Amino acid sequence: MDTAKNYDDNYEVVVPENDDFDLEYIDLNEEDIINVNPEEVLKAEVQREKTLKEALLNLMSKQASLLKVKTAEKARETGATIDKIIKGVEEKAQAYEKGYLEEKAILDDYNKKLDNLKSLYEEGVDFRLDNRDKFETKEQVAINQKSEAKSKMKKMQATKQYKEYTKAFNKVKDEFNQAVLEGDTETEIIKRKELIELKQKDPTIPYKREMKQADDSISLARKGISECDQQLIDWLEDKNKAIDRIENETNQALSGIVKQNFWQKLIGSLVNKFHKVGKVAKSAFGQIKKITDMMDEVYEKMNKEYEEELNANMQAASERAEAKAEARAERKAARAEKNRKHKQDIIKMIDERIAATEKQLEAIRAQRSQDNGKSITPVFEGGDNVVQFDRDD
Amino acid sequence: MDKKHGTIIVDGKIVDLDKTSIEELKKLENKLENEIDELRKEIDELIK
Repeated sequence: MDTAKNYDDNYEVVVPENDDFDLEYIDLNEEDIINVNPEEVLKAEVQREKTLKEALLNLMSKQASLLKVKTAEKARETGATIDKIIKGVEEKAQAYEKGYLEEKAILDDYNKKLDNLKSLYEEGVDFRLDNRDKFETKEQVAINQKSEAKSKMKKMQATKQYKEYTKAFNKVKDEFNQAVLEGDTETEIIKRKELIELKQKDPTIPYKREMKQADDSISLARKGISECDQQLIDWLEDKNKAIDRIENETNQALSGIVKQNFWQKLIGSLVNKFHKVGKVAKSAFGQIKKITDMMDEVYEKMNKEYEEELNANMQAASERAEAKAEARAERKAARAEKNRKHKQDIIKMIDERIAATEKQLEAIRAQRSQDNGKSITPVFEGGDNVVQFDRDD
Repeated sequence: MDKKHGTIIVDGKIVDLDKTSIEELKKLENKLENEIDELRKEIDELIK
């Protein structure tokens, strides 16, 4: 297990029993701890949590906007391309009414398959954006947890209990340092052991542990958000390749009709145009049918990839198995509502903490004014404990 | 367009996403992502 050396996040973790560690990191500044003013600590905490609340609300709002923008952007890209292909085929086919009517079933099938593909892409995008939203909520929950733990730790560090702990710790630390200076190995070993034991009794350790756990959750959530973004990029790249292929093949198939249109304009009156148009159009429709078959393959491939991802998410998989578009939209709305409630709860928790700290602050001020100018360190809740402070005078 | 994506507020102005071009949506996406990164830094500093 790791030792309690300085971490990047600037706080320490639990020192396990029988673990030797470098004592250099221990630097509790006795003056700072002893002279800490609980009123100042509470005031700073109220301000910190108010600023955090504003920043978190801002983050939630921007994340919600980003989700909307991403959804609109991705849907627009897919929808616009596919609609353009369908419209192009329809227009060209309708220019040759005879062939169009004869082969309408082929075109209808083609359009239906394109629509299916469009739905599949949109479903895949929604799924990934939903996941992204879930990770964002996890990030917000963890931020709130870390702030709560930090608040408790700050209050604990202003308690008499912690001041006494610091005094005891520094006393042993001084003895340890003295033993090192004097080369008194025996005392050094004893004091090192005492320091380790004292470190394990640090009353702020539970809060430091909570902060470390919240930090891990924040990192995991942010990693999850990045992964969702990458999955979305991959999914859309696959989609773009498939759509490009369909578009190219369709354009090639329709080129015969376009050429025939040009030829028809020039010499249509000299030949049996309907016969020839019908022939060329028929050939083009035959090619469209081939493209429709190709779309079946594309759909199957994309669907298989999507199913594999869904399998990792049993709930989404079972939902999809029965889902119709409307039912999916309803479930999506329910999930969005749940997330919205979750975010509201987070802000409510911060508000409650601010109100509780303000109440403690009022109590301190009331006690100070009652004391009529005497120097007093009043009562307030430190972390999970209610601590009675002594008078300093 | 078969989907309504609603509006968002950017810099105090209402933006109708269904009437915004893809290029503008991409710009908005970058802008929001940068602002979110900055907010994350601010929040990390507050809970450090």
